[in-house]
Amino acid sequence: MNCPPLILRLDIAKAEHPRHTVFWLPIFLAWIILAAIFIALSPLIILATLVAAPFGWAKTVILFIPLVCNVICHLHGMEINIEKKDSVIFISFK
Amino acid sequence: MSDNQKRVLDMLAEGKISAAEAQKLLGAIGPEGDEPKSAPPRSPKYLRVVIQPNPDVPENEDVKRVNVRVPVALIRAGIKFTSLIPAEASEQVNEALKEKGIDFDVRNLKPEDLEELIAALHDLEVDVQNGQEKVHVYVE
Repeated sequence: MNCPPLILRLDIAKAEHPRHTVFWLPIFLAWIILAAIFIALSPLIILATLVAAPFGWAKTVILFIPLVCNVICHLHGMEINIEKKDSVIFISFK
Repeated sequence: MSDNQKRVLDMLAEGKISAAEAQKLLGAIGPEGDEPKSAPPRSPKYLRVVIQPNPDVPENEDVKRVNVRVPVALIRAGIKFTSLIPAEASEQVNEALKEKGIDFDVRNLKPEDLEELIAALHDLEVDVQNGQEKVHVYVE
Protein backbone atom coordinates (compact mmCIF):
# COMPACT_ATOMS: atom_id res chain seq x y z
CA MET A 1 0.00 0.00 0.00
CA ASN A 2 1.31 3.45 -0.91
CA CYS A 3 1.71 6.11 1.72
CA PRO A 4 -0.68 9.07 1.46
CA PRO A 5 0.59 12.27 -0.19
CA LEU A 6 2.52 14.38 2.29
CA ILE A 7 2.54 17.75 0.58
CA LEU A 8 -0.07 19.65 -1.37
CA ARG A 9 1.35 22.18 -3.78
CA LEU A 10 -0.95 25.08 -4.53
CA ASP A 11 0.06 27.64 -7.16
CA ILE A 12 -2.06 30.71 -7.62
CA ALA A 13 -1.30 33.32 -10.24
CA LYS A 14 -3.36 36.42 -10.80
CA ALA A 15 -3.13 38.85 -13.69
CA GLU A 16 -2.55 41.83 -11.42
CA HIS A 17 0.42 40.19 -9.71
CA PRO A 18 3.53 39.53 -11.81
CA ARG A 19 4.64 36.57 -9.64
CA HIS A 20 2.56 33.59 -8.75
CA THR A 21 2.08 32.49 -5.17
CA VAL A 22 3.15 28.99 -4.25
CA PHE A 23 1.93 27.24 -1.15
CA TRP A 24 3.44 23.99 0.06
CA LEU A 25 0.83 22.65 2.46
CA PRO A 26 1.79 19.83 4.82
CA ILE A 27 -1.33 17.73 4.32
CA PHE A 28 0.26 14.90 6.28
CA LEU A 29 -0.96 16.84 9.32
CA ALA A 30 -4.51 16.40 8.07
CA TRP A 31 -4.00 12.64 7.85
CA ILE A 32 -2.67 12.59 11.42
CA ILE A 33 -5.70 14.53 12.60
CA LEU A 34 -8.05 12.21 10.70
CA ALA A 35 -6.33 9.19 12.23
CA ALA A 36 -6.73 10.66 15.69
CA ILE A 37 -10.42 11.34 15.04
CA PHE A 38 -10.86 7.80 13.79
CA ILE A 39 -9.26 6.35 16.91
CA ALA A 40 -11.38 8.57 19.11
CA LEU A 41 -14.59 7.57 17.29
CA SER A 42 -13.74 3.88 17.00
CA PRO A 43 -16.11 2.83 19.84
CA LEU A 44 -18.95 4.60 18.03
CA ILE A 45 -17.95 2.93 14.76
CA ILE A 46 -18.07 -0.47 16.43
CA LEU A 47 -21.47 0.36 17.86
CA ALA A 48 -22.68 1.53 14.46
CA THR A 49 -21.50 -1.75 12.94
CA LEU A 50 -23.42 -3.77 15.51
CA VAL A 51 -26.55 -1.71 14.95
CA ALA A 52 -26.25 -1.90 11.15
CA ALA A 53 -25.49 -5.63 11.02
CA PRO A 54 -29.13 -6.86 11.11
CA PHE A 55 -29.92 -4.59 8.16
CA GLY A 56 -27.06 -5.86 6.00
CA TRP A 57 -25.02 -2.65 6.27
CA ALA A 58 -22.23 -4.05 8.50
CA LYS A 59 -19.92 -4.67 5.55
CA THR A 60 -20.45 -1.11 4.37
CA VAL A 61 -19.57 0.34 7.76
CA ILE A 62 -16.52 -1.88 8.27
CA LEU A 63 -15.04 -1.44 4.79
CA PHE A 64 -15.80 2.25 4.28
CA ILE A 65 -12.84 3.65 6.18
CA PRO A 66 -10.20 1.29 4.73
CA LEU A 67 -11.48 2.11 1.23
CA VAL A 68 -11.30 5.84 1.93
CA CYS A 69 -7.72 5.32 3.19
CA ASN A 70 -6.95 3.40 -0.01
CA VAL A 71 -8.24 6.29 -2.11
CA ILE A 72 -6.23 8.82 -0.10
CA CYS A 73 -3.07 6.74 -0.46
CA HIS A 74 -3.41 6.77 -4.26
CA LEU A 75 -3.73 10.53 -4.59
CA HIS A 76 -0.02 10.75 -5.39
CA GLY A 77 0.55 12.36 -8.75
CA MET A 78 -2.90 13.90 -9.06
CA GLU A 79 -2.78 17.34 -10.64
CA ILE A 80 -5.43 19.90 -11.42
CA ASN A 81 -4.62 22.95 -13.51
CA ILE A 82 -7.28 25.58 -14.16
CA GLU A 83 -6.55 28.64 -16.26
CA LYS A 84 -9.08 31.40 -16.39
CA LYS A 85 -8.89 34.75 -18.12
CA ASP A 86 -7.14 36.48 -15.24
CA SER A 87 -5.97 33.71 -12.93
CA VAL A 88 -4.27 30.35 -12.91
CA ILE A 89 -4.66 27.73 -10.20
CA PHE A 90 -2.51 24.63 -10.01
CA ILE A 91 -3.00 21.90 -7.41
CA SER A 92 -0.66 18.95 -7.10
CA PHE A 93 -0.50 16.12 -4.58
CA LYS A 94 3.07 15.04 -3.88
CA MET B 1 4.22 -19.80 -40.44
CA SER B 2 7.39 -17.70 -40.49
CA ASP B 3 10.14 -17.81 -43.12
CA ASN B 4 12.60 -19.47 -40.77
CA GLN B 5 10.16 -22.20 -39.88
CA LYS B 6 9.47 -22.80 -43.58
CA ARG B 7 13.16 -23.01 -44.33
CA VAL B 8 13.67 -25.62 -41.63
CA LEU B 9 10.76 -27.70 -42.92
CA ASP B 10 12.06 -27.41 -46.48
CA MET B 11 15.48 -28.63 -45.37
CA LEU B 12 13.83 -31.53 -43.59
CA ALA B 13 11.80 -32.37 -46.69
CA GLU B 14 14.96 -32.28 -48.83
CA GLY B 15 16.71 -34.57 -46.39
CA LYS B 16 19.41 -32.04 -45.55
CA ILE B 17 18.69 -32.34 -41.84
CA SER B 18 17.26 -35.05 -39.66
CA ALA B 19 13.98 -34.85 -37.78
CA ALA B 20 15.77 -34.38 -34.46
CA GLU B 21 17.82 -31.51 -35.88
CA ALA B 22 14.68 -29.95 -37.35
CA GLN B 23 12.97 -30.17 -33.98
CA LYS B 24 15.95 -28.48 -32.32
CA LEU B 25 15.97 -25.70 -34.87
CA LEU B 26 12.23 -25.13 -34.61
CA GLY B 27 12.52 -24.99 -30.83
CA ALA B 28 15.30 -22.42 -31.10
CA ILE B 29 13.25 -20.30 -33.49
CA GLY B 30 10.31 -20.27 -31.14
CA PRO B 31 6.53 -20.35 -31.83
CA GLU B 32 6.52 -16.94 -33.55
CA GLY B 33 9.57 -17.67 -35.72
CA ASP B 34 11.51 -14.59 -36.66
CA GLU B 35 8.96 -12.12 -35.43
CA PRO B 36 10.60 -9.87 -32.89
CA LYS B 37 9.14 -10.14 -29.45
CA SER B 38 7.71 -6.78 -28.65
CA ALA B 39 7.98 -5.44 -25.15
CA PRO B 40 4.80 -5.86 -23.16
CA PRO B 41 2.74 -2.67 -23.26
CA ARG B 42 3.27 -0.49 -20.22
CA SER B 43 0.33 -0.24 -17.89
CA PRO B 44 -1.21 3.23 -18.14
CA LYS B 45 -0.33 5.40 -15.16
CA TYR B 46 -2.42 8.53 -15.57
CA LEU B 47 -5.73 9.53 -17.10
CA ARG B 48 -5.62 13.04 -18.48
CA VAL B 49 -8.55 15.27 -19.25
CA VAL B 50 -7.73 18.45 -21.11
CA ILE B 51 -10.36 21.09 -21.82
CA GLN B 52 -9.31 24.03 -23.92
CA PRO B 53 -10.89 26.63 -26.20
CA ASN B 54 -11.96 25.30 -29.57
CA PRO B 55 -9.30 26.48 -32.05
CA ASP B 56 -11.91 26.69 -34.83
CA VAL B 57 -13.90 29.31 -32.96
CA PRO B 58 -12.70 32.92 -32.69
CA GLU B 59 -10.83 33.35 -29.47
CA ASN B 60 -13.10 33.45 -26.46
CA GLU B 61 -11.36 34.75 -23.40
CA ASP B 62 -14.08 33.46 -21.07
CA VAL B 63 -13.39 29.82 -21.82
CA LYS B 64 -11.43 28.12 -19.06
CA ARG B 65 -8.55 25.81 -19.74
CA VAL B 66 -8.62 22.77 -17.52
CA ASN B 67 -5.96 20.10 -17.31
CA VAL B 68 -6.55 17.25 -14.90
CA ARG B 69 -4.22 14.32 -14.32
CA VAL B 70 -5.72 11.44 -12.38
CA PRO B 71 -3.61 8.46 -11.34
CA VAL B 72 -5.10 5.23 -12.68
CA ALA B 73 -4.43 3.68 -9.27
CA LEU B 74 -6.88 6.20 -7.85
CA ILE B 75 -9.55 5.07 -10.29
CA ARG B 76 -8.89 1.45 -9.25
CA ALA B 77 -9.28 2.41 -5.60
CA GLY B 78 -12.47 4.33 -6.32
CA ILE B 79 -14.07 1.44 -8.21
CA LYS B 80 -13.72 -0.70 -5.10
CA PHE B 81 -16.39 1.45 -3.48
CA THR B 82 -18.96 -0.41 -5.58
CA SER B 83 -18.41 -3.42 -3.29
CA LEU B 84 -19.92 -1.36 -0.47
CA ILE B 85 -23.25 -0.96 -2.21
CA PRO B 86 -25.78 -3.18 -0.39
CA ALA B 87 -28.07 -5.36 -2.48
CA GLU B 88 -31.14 -3.14 -2.01
CA ALA B 89 -29.24 0.01 -2.92
CA SER B 90 -27.60 -1.61 -5.94
CA GLU B 91 -31.06 -2.44 -7.31
CA GLN B 92 -32.05 1.20 -7.00
CA VAL B 93 -28.82 2.23 -8.68
CA ASN B 94 -29.46 -0.21 -11.52
CA GLU B 95 -32.98 1.14 -11.98
CA ALA B 96 -31.71 4.70 -12.06
CA LEU B 97 -29.13 3.72 -14.68
CA LYS B 98 -31.81 1.99 -16.75
CA GLU B 99 -33.92 5.15 -16.73
CA LYS B 100 -30.94 6.92 -18.28
CA GLY B 101 -30.70 4.24 -20.91
CA ILE B 102 -27.72 2.41 -19.40
CA ASP B 103 -28.45 -1.28 -19.02
CA PHE B 104 -25.71 -2.21 -16.59
CA ASP B 105 -25.63 -4.08 -13.29
CA VAL B 106 -23.18 -2.46 -10.84
CA ARG B 107 -22.84 -5.77 -9.01
CA ASN B 108 -21.15 -7.23 -12.08
CA LEU B 109 -18.26 -4.80 -11.82
CA LYS B 110 -15.33 -6.83 -10.50
CA PRO B 111 -11.65 -5.89 -9.91
CA GLU B 112 -10.53 -8.42 -12.58
CA ASP B 113 -12.73 -6.75 -15.18
CA LEU B 114 -11.33 -3.40 -14.15
CA GLU B 115 -7.77 -4.56 -14.84
CA GLU B 116 -8.79 -5.59 -18.35
CA LEU B 117 -10.48 -2.26 -18.85
CA ILE B 118 -7.44 -0.35 -17.61
CA ALA B 119 -5.15 -2.36 -19.90
CA ALA B 120 -7.46 -1.51 -22.81
CA LEU B 121 -7.29 2.17 -21.87
CA HIS B 122 -3.76 2.22 -23.16
CA ASP B 123 -5.03 3.08 -26.64
CA LEU B 124 -7.86 5.28 -25.48
CA GLU B 125 -8.03 8.73 -26.92
CA VAL B 126 -11.24 10.78 -26.99
CA ASP B 127 -11.56 14.10 -28.77
CA VAL B 128 -14.79 16.05 -28.49
CA GLN B 129 -15.38 19.50 -29.92
CA ASN B 130 -18.45 21.16 -28.54
CA GLY B 131 -19.06 24.76 -29.49
CA GLN B 132 -16.44 26.81 -27.75
CA GLU B 133 -14.61 23.97 -26.04
CA LYS B 134 -12.49 21.07 -27.06
CA VAL B 135 -12.21 18.10 -24.72
CA HIS B 136 -9.34 15.66 -25.03
CA VAL B 137 -9.21 12.55 -22.89
CA TYR B 138 -6.23 10.24 -23.09
CA VAL B 139 -4.04 7.93 -21.07
CA GLU B 140 -0.31 8.15 -20.46
